[in-house]
Formats: sequence, C-alpha cells, structure tokens
Amino acid sequence: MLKIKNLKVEAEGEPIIDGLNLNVQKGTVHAIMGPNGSGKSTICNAIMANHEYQIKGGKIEFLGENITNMPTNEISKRGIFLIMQNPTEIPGVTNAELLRAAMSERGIKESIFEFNKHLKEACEVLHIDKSFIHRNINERMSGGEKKKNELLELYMLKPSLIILDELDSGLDVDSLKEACSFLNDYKEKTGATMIIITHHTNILNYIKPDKVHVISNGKIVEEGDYSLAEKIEKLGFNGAFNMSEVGTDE
Amino acid sequence: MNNMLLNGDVLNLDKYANVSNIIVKGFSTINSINVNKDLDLHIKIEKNATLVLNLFNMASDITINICIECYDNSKFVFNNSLIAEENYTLNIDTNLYGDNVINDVNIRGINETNGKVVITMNGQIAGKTKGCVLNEFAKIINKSENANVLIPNMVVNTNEVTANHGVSIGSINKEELFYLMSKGLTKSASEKMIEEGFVLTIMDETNREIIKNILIGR
Repeated sequence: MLKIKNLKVEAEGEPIIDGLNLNVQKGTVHAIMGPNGSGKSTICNAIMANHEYQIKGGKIEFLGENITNMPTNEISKRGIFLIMQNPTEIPGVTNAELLRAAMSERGIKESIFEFNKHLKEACEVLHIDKSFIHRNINERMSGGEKKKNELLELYMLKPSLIILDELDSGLDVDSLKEACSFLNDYKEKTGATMIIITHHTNILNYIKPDKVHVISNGKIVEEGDYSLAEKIEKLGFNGAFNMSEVGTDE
Repeated sequence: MNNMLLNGDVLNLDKYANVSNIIVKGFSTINSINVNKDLDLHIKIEKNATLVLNLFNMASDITINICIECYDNSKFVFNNSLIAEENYTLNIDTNLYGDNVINDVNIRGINETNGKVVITMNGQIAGKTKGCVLNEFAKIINKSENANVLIPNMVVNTNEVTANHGVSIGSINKEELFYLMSKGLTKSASEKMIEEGFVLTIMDETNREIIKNILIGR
C-alpha cells in the first residue's frame, strides 16, 4: 500500500532521513520506534509533503502512485490521514467549516441536514460533546480534546491509511485507551492501515503492531514483530541497540 | 455635526448614517459592518457606562478617525476587523480620564496585494487616576509589497495602571496552512479560511455570521 524507497529528507538544510526504506501492506499495523531526534516525525511530514521538509532523494508510493512531493491536499484526498503530535489551533475556523470543505473537496455531497446528522453520529461514537462541532479547530482544547477532535475528523473523512504521530502525547491512560479502542474499531470496520510513530510502547499495548521498525539517525536499523517492542520496553533503545538520544522530535 | 445619545442601545451605522458626536450611557453597542466610508467619531463614555464598538471594513480607500473619552468605571471595547484592498487608515485616540476605566483595542486585518494599512493607536491615561486598564493589540497578515504601519502609542501619567500593547505584521501561519491542507483543502481554500478566521475571531457571533456572508464571494 505504502512503499518508501531510499528516502532522503532535510529540514532547514540539515539531513534528517538518510536512505529510509519502508514497505507497508494494506490492512496491517506498523510501528516506527526510535529515540527522540531519530527522525520519526520527519517521516510523517515527508509523506504528507510538509513544505518545511525537503525531500532530497528517493520515492514515496501510495497504492502504486508516486506521491513524492505531491501537494499535501492531494495526498490527503488519496486517503492518508495524519494525526499530528500537537494538532494546530486555528482561531476563527470551526470544525464544521473545515469538515464541510474537506468533504466537498472529496466529492462527498451532503445536505446541511445530512452533514449535521453525520457529525452528531460521529460525536456519539467518540463520546464527545456535540458542541465540538461548532468549536474553533483545536482552540483552547486540552491535549486529550485535540486528539479527540482529530479522531472526529478521521471518522468523517474515512481515510484508508492513518499515521499516528505520538498519539499518546497529551493523553492520560483512560483517554489513550478510549482513542485506541476507537481506532481498533475503525480498522476492523474499514480495513484501514496504520503507521504508529512512537518512542515508547504504551500505545502498542492497545493497538498491536504486525511489524515494528526501529529508526536511528534517519535509517531503519532493526525490524521485527511485537517482540521487538517488548525488548525495547525492557532494555530501552540504548540497552537494546546501543543508541542514545540525539535531540528532540518536531 | 450630528449628536446622539446612546443609553443602553444598539446603533447600527450604515452608509447613510451621519453621526459624529455620541454620548454613551448604560451598556451600548455600535456596529459598523462593511459601511466602507470615511468615519469621524467623537464618543464620550460616561461614568459606569460600557461601549462595544464593532467595526468591519473590506475597504478600498478609507480613513477612520475615532476619539474616545472615558470616565470613572467605564469600559470601551473596540473590535476592528479589516480587509484592506487599497488604503486603510485608522487613528484611534482613547483618553482615560477617570478611575477604574477599562479599554480594550483589538484590531485584526488582512492587507491584500494592493493594500496599505496605517493604524495609529493613541492611548492616554490621565494623571491621578487609579485602577485603569489599557490594552492595545493589532495583528496584520500582510500580502502586499507596500509598507504597513502599526503604531501602539501609550501615554501614562499615573503610577497605578495596567497597560499592555502589542502589534505584529506577518504572513500566513504555515503550520495552520499545512494543517488544513493535510485535511484535503487546496492551498487557496486553506489560505482563505485562515485569513477569514483570523479577522473574524475578535467579532461576536452575530457579526461573525453577517461578515461571513459578506465574504462568501471574496
């Protein structure tokens, strides 16, 4: 479904990803783990063609199509959804306005009545107050509310590949469990694929990965099944692979 | 010169309004939404009164002069959203003459390709007053090569006061742009949404809806 070949990425002139390869099959869950500063978040930003990151080489294919440096909105419309580590606040723009525009871009035609009904249904599924619909995007929301807001958007936009960038950041244990339960249900119903970016194993207790990749200095240095995550949990990155923290993720 | 007394009223200024001197009592509101003509207002806010002045212009070439006098325990809130298609000049003078006066000046604008924005905020707090609060904030998203000028002046003649001011002129927030595009909106649709949210965020819900309708064809 997603193939990354020999990817090289820079940010502000600094090389971050250096020859990364990744092959993600449809319907599977992949975890990308690594210490702070190893380049995990850069992978998400490169896939989504964030203009703050420059792709200097390699190729990203999604469903057989080359999406390397394609405009971000086109990548999104093809079915890739990024849940950001710190979802951006946008003053003055409501969730309803964004979703209505985003659905329209995808050619989903719903009357106001159908749209509101659909949104209310999403709020019920996610156990969130209906007032979320008319709140400004992520503005004055707690970390947990922001992540729920992202899940609300995901429910409405129905992506086939979900990238979770440090989903557990800003979530307490109960909220993390609830978010993961929603994502597991979504995956079961839609057959969606997931890439989980994380530096510790909390989230992997709730969403079990089929494959675990360890990244260091912009390269995948180890691959395996869930037991690899357990090894990291037990020994840490340094103990397991003799690597150390080199900085701070975006 | 036309005089008017507002006593807990809502005044909606339109293209034909010809008011220049206003006395405010009680809690009053003035809305001037997309009137887009030169304006020269002198407003006296009496003791214990509050005035909220909501001003929106999508302007070609206008000059607005507003002079405010505030007395004991009064409050003045100024919300000015603007989209400057050409020249937009605003001079707002606030004079805090009494104790415990609160003034909040909030300006949010978009300076379009051919726009030029010149905003001067002059806040003056009289000597021997106590407990006054004066806030002056202006933020402009600039899309023009023209020079923009934002001046937040404050003259404080007393020791017991809270005064804050801040201005910024910048481009569209790239994180916000990436966020909206990552949900599938085109660059131009994302920019439009961010800009309109930016200018409307200081308006109350009623005016926001009115202005959104005005901006549909933008």
